[in-house]
Amino acid sequence: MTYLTTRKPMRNLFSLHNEMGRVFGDLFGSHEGGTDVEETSWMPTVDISEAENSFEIRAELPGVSENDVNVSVTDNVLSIKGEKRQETETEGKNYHRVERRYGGFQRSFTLPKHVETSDIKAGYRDGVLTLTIPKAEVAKPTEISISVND
Amino acid sequence: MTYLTLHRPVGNPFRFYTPLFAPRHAGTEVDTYKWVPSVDISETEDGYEVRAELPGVAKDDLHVSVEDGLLTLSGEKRQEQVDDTQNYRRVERRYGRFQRKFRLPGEVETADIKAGYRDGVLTLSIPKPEAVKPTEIPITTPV
Repeated sequence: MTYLTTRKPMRNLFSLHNEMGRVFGDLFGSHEGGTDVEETSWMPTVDISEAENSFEIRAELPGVSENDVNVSVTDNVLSIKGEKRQETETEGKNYHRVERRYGGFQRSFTLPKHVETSDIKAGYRDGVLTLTIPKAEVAKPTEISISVND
Repeated sequence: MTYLTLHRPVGNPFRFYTPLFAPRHAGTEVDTYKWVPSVDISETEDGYEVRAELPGVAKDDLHVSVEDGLLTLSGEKRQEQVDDTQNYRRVERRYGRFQRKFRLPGEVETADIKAGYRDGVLTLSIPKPEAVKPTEIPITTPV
C-alpha cells in the first residue's frame, strides 16, 4: 500500500514537532509550518482518496479563477498554488461582513513512488480542483521457469 | 446607513448564536447543518452585494429565497461519487446541508435581486430603490 504524504521541507527547530509527527506515523500531517505560512494567507481544504488505479486530490478553491491556479510536480512533490483575488474594487464600498479570505495560497504533497506524474489530469468545476494521478504499472511478479539439466 | 443583520428567530433559545458557534447538542435545527459557508456583505450607493463561498455545490443544489424580508441561502454539498475501491487518505472538506439567513434592510427591491454563480461563489446583487439613494438637494436663493 502506498501513501500520499505531505512534504516537509523545513528542517528548522519550528518544524521539529512536525518531523516527530511524521516519524511516528503521522503520514498526512500538515507540513504548512515555517516560513511558507507567512507568504500564504489561507489554505484550501483538501480530500485525498486512493482507488485501485489512481489517486484523486480534490481541493476547494472558491472564488479562484482557473487562470490563477497553478499545479506543478517537481522532484515527486506536487504543488497547488495560486491566488484568490477580491472580485471587485473595494473603493466606495462599505463592508458589513467579511468572512472570506483572500490572497496567495499553496499546498504541497509528496507523491508515492509508483505514479505517472506525466499523466496527471486536472479539472476545475464549481470552485473545486480535481487532480487524478494514475498509478504506474508496477512490474508484476514474473514466473521464472527452471530448467533441469539432465 | 442600514445593515444586513443575521436572522435570529424569536423563540429559539440559541438565537444569539449563529449555527457555527452553537453547541453541538443545541437541538435538531443546528444538527441538520454540517457546515457554514463564508459570506462577505458589502454596500454601495446603489445596493448591497452578498458573496458566499460554496465550493463543490452544484448550481441545482443551491436555493435562494426571500420571505418576510429574510434572505435565505440553503442547499447541499454532495460528496463526489466514489467507487467501492476508493479509500480516503485525507478528508478535510465538509459535506451536507447548509443554511444561512440574513435580515434584509427594509427598503430593498426584493423583486430585482440578481443571483450569479461562478467558481463556487454565489453573488447576489440587491438593488436599493431610487427613494433611498442619496439625492442632491440644490440650494436656491429665494428671489
